[in-house]
Amino acid sequence: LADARTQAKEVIAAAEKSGEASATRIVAEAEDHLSQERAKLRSELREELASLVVETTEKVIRKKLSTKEDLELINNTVKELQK
Amino acid sequence: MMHISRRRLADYAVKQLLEGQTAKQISKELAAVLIETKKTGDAELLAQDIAWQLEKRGKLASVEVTSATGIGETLRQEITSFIKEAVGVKQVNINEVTDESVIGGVRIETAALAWDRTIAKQLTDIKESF
Repeated sequence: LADARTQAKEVIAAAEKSGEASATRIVAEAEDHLSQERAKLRSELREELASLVVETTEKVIRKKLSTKEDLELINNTVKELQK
Repeated sequence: MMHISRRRLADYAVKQLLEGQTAKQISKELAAVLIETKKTGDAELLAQDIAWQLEKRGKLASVEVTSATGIGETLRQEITSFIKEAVGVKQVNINEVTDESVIGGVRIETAALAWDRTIAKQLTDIKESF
């Protein structure tokens, strides 16, 4: 009976140890997954923000830039290129 | 059927041009060769090769100038003198293209070089730098 108890204790201890290791692994995997998701989201947000800024800027420029100003811009560009 | 490479054809065309043959005469000859060799699809590439060689030899630069609203005569002359200096050619032939998608500014392209100073390009650069 004593042997059986000892064996039972050993089996329980081993199971607890294995359970702890599994839990630790699961938590680590979950943290890793979360970290990857966060990075992906951050990158997507950055791209969306960039698109939004560029689209808005484009709309404003299209609305505000007159033919005369565009010609001035081209003229200045050519002068810069000539330097 | 004899195979003639596009490069050899371009060499021949440039040589003939420099010897004083008219572009019309050479075009006819080249068209005949392209039809004979069943390579009419190469016509555009052949024209680019000829333009590249003429530019490389300092004879002529065929330039495409793209802007949203078009350039006037003064700018055309400015661009011509810039190309003569930058590319080192005696003659410049400007082909003006109006394309609203560039938004503003100008894109200047020769057979071998390009300067893209359009607003569209700058916005793309900004977007890519994020």
